[in-house]
Order: sequence, then structure tokens, then C-alpha cells
Amino acid sequence: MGTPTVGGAPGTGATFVSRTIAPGLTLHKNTDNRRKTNLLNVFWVGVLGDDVTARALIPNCLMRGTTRFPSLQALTRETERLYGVSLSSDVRKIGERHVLQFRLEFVNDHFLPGGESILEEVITFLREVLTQPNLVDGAFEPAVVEQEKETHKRLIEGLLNDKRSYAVQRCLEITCENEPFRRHEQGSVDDLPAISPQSMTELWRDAAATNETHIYFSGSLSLDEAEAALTPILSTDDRTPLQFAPLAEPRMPGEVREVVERMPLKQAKLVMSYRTGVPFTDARVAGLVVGNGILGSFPHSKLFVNVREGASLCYYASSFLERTQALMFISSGIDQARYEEARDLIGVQVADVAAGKFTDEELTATKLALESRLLMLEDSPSALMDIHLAWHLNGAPYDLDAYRKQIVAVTREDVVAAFKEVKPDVVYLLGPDGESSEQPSDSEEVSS
Amino acid sequence: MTFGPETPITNETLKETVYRRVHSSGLPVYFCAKPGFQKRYACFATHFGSIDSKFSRGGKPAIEVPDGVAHFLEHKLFEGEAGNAMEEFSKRGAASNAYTSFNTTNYLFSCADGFYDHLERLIRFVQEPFFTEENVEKEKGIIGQEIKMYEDSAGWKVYFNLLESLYQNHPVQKDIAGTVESISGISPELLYTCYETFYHPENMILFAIGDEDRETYFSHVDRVLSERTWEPLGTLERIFPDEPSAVASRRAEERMVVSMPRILVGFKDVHPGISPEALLTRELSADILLELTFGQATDFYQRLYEQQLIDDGFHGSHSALADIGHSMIGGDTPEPERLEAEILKEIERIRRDGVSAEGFERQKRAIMGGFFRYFNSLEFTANHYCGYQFLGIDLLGIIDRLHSLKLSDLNDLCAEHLDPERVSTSLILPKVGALA
Repeated sequence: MGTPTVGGAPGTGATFVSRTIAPGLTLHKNTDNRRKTNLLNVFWVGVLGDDVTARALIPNCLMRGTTRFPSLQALTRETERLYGVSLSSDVRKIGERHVLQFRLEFVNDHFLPGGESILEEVITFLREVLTQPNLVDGAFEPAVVEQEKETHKRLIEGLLNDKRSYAVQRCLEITCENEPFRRHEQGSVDDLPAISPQSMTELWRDAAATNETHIYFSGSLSLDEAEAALTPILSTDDRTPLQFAPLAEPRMPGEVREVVERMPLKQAKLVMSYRTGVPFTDARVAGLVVGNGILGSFPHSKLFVNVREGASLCYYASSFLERTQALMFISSGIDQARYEEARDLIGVQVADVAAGKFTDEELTATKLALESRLLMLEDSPSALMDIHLAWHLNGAPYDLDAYRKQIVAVTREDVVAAFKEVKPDVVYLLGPDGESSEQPSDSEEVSS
Repeated sequence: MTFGPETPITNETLKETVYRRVHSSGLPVYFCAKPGFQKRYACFATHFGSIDSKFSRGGKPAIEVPDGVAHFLEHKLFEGEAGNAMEEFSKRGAASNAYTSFNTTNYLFSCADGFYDHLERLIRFVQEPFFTEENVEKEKGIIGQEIKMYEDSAGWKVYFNLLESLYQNHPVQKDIAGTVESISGISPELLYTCYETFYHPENMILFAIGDEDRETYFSHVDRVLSERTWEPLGTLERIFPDEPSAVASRRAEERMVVSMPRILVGFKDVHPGISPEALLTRELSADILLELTFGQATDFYQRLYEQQLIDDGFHGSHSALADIGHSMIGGDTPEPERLEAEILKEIERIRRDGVSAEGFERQKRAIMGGFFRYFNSLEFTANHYCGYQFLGIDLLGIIDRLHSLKLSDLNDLCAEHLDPERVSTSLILPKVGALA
């Protein structure tokens, strides 16, 4: 069904051949003969909405057992028998879409001893995980759902343990407090009590039938072989694909908000958010990406050279874009006593990029580093699948070669034009509370 | 200056070949071809890590250096007279980095283009130390921040607290970065002393991997290495204190900002003078043994997961150095005491019942599959090749050793190593009043 469409540069590992095999169900294949394993990814794309917490639990419930392998233990034993096939799941957000991922990596038959073949068994195994969970009276086992809810609660609470990413997450929540993007991909503890085995089972059936589904395969099969082998993974009947709301327009900030939170810590974390005003498919994207690189993606970048090395103000400082939301973040670990100094010096680096105050060497080096990073991506089918999906969901044609050429062609003027609308939004400090463990936590908001 | 004869090291199962030539400077140089890959990767590693805190060269009196000196040297080496090497790589499209472990310091880069330019830069910057009073003092501030960052990491703390409990004298218990106090005693002279001892070509390895021509690679390396001459290293003795088989303490506890208690139970293994072959057998046996006792496919895991005593972060792992080793089991749990009791009870059971032959064969298949996955990675191949070389083990040969492993190897190790008399427990408990 459907005709193949080709994206990416021909003749490189970066190419995908795609075929629609049912409404809202697309197969993408990449040929890679260099690796010793095959990679199979299934993505279910839904809305980043009120049911995000329950959606995040779907993979966990599915991974607890199938009709044939009815426990985590039985399932694991089967993966071990199949030469340690690595089965994992993930949830993420791509802009305001919520994506469930099922990932299988397994040894290419070519390497197995005695002419053994596991390809078919592995694909059958994944189909069973996705479509034949171990149901009791038509629903997930109540004990399993309760256990996974508790595990999930701990996972969400445990986000606190990694202070660096916790601080970024807090800054993001404050920045996007009135937007769907404020939601964490794992959802929130508050939603857990309302989740029942019945509602989980319905949500799984609904996701399977309505979510925009992308099956990616990287290995040494032809497209026809891949289609024959992979189509049975999901039912192609009765699919009613979701209709998504149009992609959000970039939002712009009001007054800069300065937020300080405290906990017993040794090293303070300073995270700053900016609105870029540059949509995902905008022609200024290449300039924005290069500008962000000059600012803080590399060891030659301003944040590293001027803030970390020059002023010894922090242990780490880097910037990254959230292109889907036209956001930029700067994340750093600092000495609390030098907070104002660090904040102001970081602000100067952003202003310098926006004003075109960087050397030709900084521009050239950044483009070279980005070009090199893009080339090396071609070695990673997993990273290519992620990019292919993200670009697709944001309405950008997948053409890594053209993108790389745009990056190489970026001029100083392009960077200045792309940074023209970059505006600070939130300055967030997660600071030590002075070693006092008796103090209750507090949160203060200061406008500046 | 030139290379000695080439030795190809091939593994038929993995379908990989590594070529080795020893340079007249004494440096073993390796190459592995990866046709079709865009990435090129190279690393320059020295057999010098955080545990090498006491040594003697050429029969001279032993020198004792402060904790954290290998890591400090790693940081400092990037700063040459002409600028920061990491920045120089970055400006030319390559990404470079380095890491320090218990027994290795490894400098590395990856790139798509300009491989030989970057390779020369790697060799040169590692061979051109530039330590001054000023740059050493400045680094103390930067590393001080890094140490503070580790102190906020529950995973790091639970691990090093356990090592401190397990070992009485061995430097493996010291934090790799040292402490703010220990690094305060580091001077340029001390760095030069360590540098001249451990950064001698005979004590190092150069490894490159990617889609490059082998002859071109070796001739480039020869040219750069031949720019200077080296006196032979002579004798280099690493002096480790006697480590009794008994643990230093049974328990370590600390409070931190964490959402849930974290526990790690450790078993200690002291084996000075062991052969590399025996070391590898121990390591493989321990990995499989722990997987068959505590892995996701065990009754133990299934039961405790259902009781919510553990989550999917729970696991057991073994790690070994030349003279010591340890197994560690644990994860996050709401009831650390109960989990500890369950772990010890399960150890008792496996010591009594032994492991099943069915499980053993299944685990061998699983580990074998894992090897194929790892060997997709250029970084894994190069870094682990060097790391294992410093233990006298050839990475490519491990899969064959796995194949010939016997059930009795596991049961022997179980009886000897998982000894309830040589166990310590490390606990991280949530700090009261932390932001939740």
C-alpha cells in the first residue's frame, strides 16, 4: 500500500525509505551493513495533554508480561535466550506531542553461531509485547497496575536526585507555566490515584488504534522484506488516526522573572530561559543553531571560554535549544556566593552573540563543529530515527544533507538576524540552604 | 625511529581485527579499521589512575602523592603553553575529552574530518606538559567545584562510602578527584614528577579506530613520535599497602537530598598476584553469578519487584583491579534494612543451592549478544581495549573465554567470594526537610 518516499542524502546511512502501510501507520527503513545488530523502534505519537501520566504508564504495563510470557521474569528470560535482545521503552515529548517508544536491538543473524536465525522470533516477540499483554478478565492485572503506579511515583519523585536536570526542569516548568509544554513527559504524581486497570487498558487500546505510529528499522533488509516482516507488528485494521492541533506559534516573554529555590546542596545551579521567536521550520533556524553553538555548545564557545575558564565562575555552563518551542536554555553549576556575577556575565555572552560580537574564528569553528557532529550522526541509526521523527512531527522535510549545507553557509548577519528576537524569560537559581537540614523548603520570587 | 613487527589480533566471532605495532619509543600502537563509519576515534591512555598514589622508579626511594593527583594532572594537561587543547580540537571540528579511573587516565577525540591533524594534536598535547604555579592554583578552584558536584550525587556517594567500608588500606577507597584538602597540596613539581614517571611511552597505549588506511596511520604516528627520543622507563614499581581480607567496617550511612533511601551491599575480594587469565575468569564468573542471583530473570527480582522493595535500577555488578575486586548489589528502596536482609538471605541460598545449568547457558547467550552491541561502538572498543590491556587482558579474546567458562567456575567463585564474613553495607538516607 502506498508508494515509497525517499528522504535524506542518497548513498549514505542517513537515508530512510518510508512506506505508509495503513492510515497513520508508517514504516521507515534505513540500510546499515556496518553494524553487528539490527535496531527496531516503534513510536506511538499522541497529544501532550491531561492523560500524559497514564500514557507514560502504558509501556511499563506492557513490559510486565504477554500471554505467552506472562511475567517480567518470563519476558526477561526470553530476551536472554534471544541472545540478549535489548528491549526497552521510553517516553518523551516532541514539542506538544507525547511519544511512547519501544526499542529493540538484537544481533544480526549474520553473526550468530551455527547459522541460527532470530529475526522472526524477535519481531514476533515485539508484536506480542505491544498487542498481547497478559490481561486478566480483559484488563491489566490490578496488582501490576498498582505496582507500576507506585514505581512511577518514585520515578517522578526521584527526578530530584539529579540536581542538574532537576534545575533545568524547574526552569522549564516556570517558563512554560501556561503551556502544554510545562508537563513533564512522565506526568505528575497527582494524576496517579485516578488511574485504574480498566482505564489503563482502554488507554492502551486507544493508543494502539489512534496514535500516529512510526515503525523504524535499521539493518540489512530490503524495503519489501522489511514490510513483510514488520507489518504484522500492529493491526492495520480499524485504525482511526488522531487529528493533531496545528503546531503552536512561538510565544514571547513578558518581564524577566527571577526565581530562587533552596535545598541542602553543595553546588548551586543557575538556569536561564530565553524565547527565540524562531519557529521550527523558519529560514533563520540555521543562524539560530550556529548562534547557540557560538554561545554554549562547545569547548570553544563563549560560556565555556569566558564564564567557566576565563572568570572561573562555574564548573559547567552550556546552552541548548528547544527548537519545537522556540526556547533556549542556559544551564550552569555555580558558587552561590557569585550568583549575580555569573548571571550578569552569562547575560553579556548572549548579548554579544545577538550583537554579532564574535570573531570569524568563533563562527568558523562553530560551523565546523556542527558539520562534524552532523556527519557523525550518520553512524547512529538511533539518533537518525529520533531526528527523522522530530522533523516529521514539526513539519520539516528530512534532508540532513541540505541542513548541513545551510549550517555551513551561515554568515554573521544570519546569526544576528536569528538572535534579533531572543529575549530572556526566567532566571532560576537552585541554591544551597546554608547546610541547615531543619529549614523547611521555601520558594521566593523576585522580579527584576 | 620505527615500529617493530605487526601483530594482528583477530576474533572470528566478532569479525574484528586489531593491529598492534610497538614503536621504538616503547609505545604500543593499535589500529582497528571500521569501513563505512563517518566517525574516527582515537585515544591515548596511560596506566596511571587514582590508586597509583605510591611508587618508585629506577630503584629510587618511594614517593607518596596526594589523593586526586592523576585526575588533577588530566585537567592540567589540556592547558598547554599555546592555549587550551580541548578548545583547539573544538575549533577544528573535533570533540575531545579525557577521563581518570582507578588505574587509567585516557585522552580521546572523535572527528569526521581531518583525522591526522587531530591525531597529531592528541599525541603532542599529551606529550607537552605545561604546569605553572599560576595555572595549578587556578585549577584548584575548578576541581573544587567538580568535587562539590560529586558530593551532591547520591550514586557517587553511596559507591565511595561503600568502598571506604570495604577497604582498610587500599587507595581504591579514595575519591578519584581527591578532596579539596588533598588537592591543596598539589604543586607543579609534583605534577612533573608524576608526569615523567607515568606518561612514558612504555606505560601508555595509543589506539585509533575508524575508516582510515592502516599504513598511513602508522607512518603518521611514527613521524610524530620520532620528534623526540626517550630513555627507557626502567623499573616502575607501584606500591600498594597490604589489604587484609576483612572489611574495614560493616556499615556506612549518610543523609542527602534524595527522594528515597539508596542501598549498596558490597563483597570484597583480595587477590594479589593473580594471573590476568584468572582475573578474567573471576570477572566473567562474577558477572554471570550476580545476574543469575539478582537479575531481572530471577525469582528474587520478580518477588521483590512485586513487593515494591526494588525498582528497575536494582542490580548487581562486579569490578576488578589487578589485586582487588568487589561485587556490589543494590538500588533505591523504601525499606533499606529489609532489602539488605533479603539480599543476604539470597546470597545464603545461592551458596547452598548453586546456580542452574539452564540459567548459566541462557546468561552466556545474553552476554554474548551484549558484546555484539558494544562492538558497534568505536568508543567502547577503543576505551575498553586500553583499559583491559592495563590488566593484561585482550578485549577481543573475552568472548571466547566466555564460551569456555564452566558452571564450576561460578560455583567456586560463589563459595569463595560471596562470603558473608566480608560484606559491608552503604546507605544514603533522605535528609529531613528537603524540598520535595
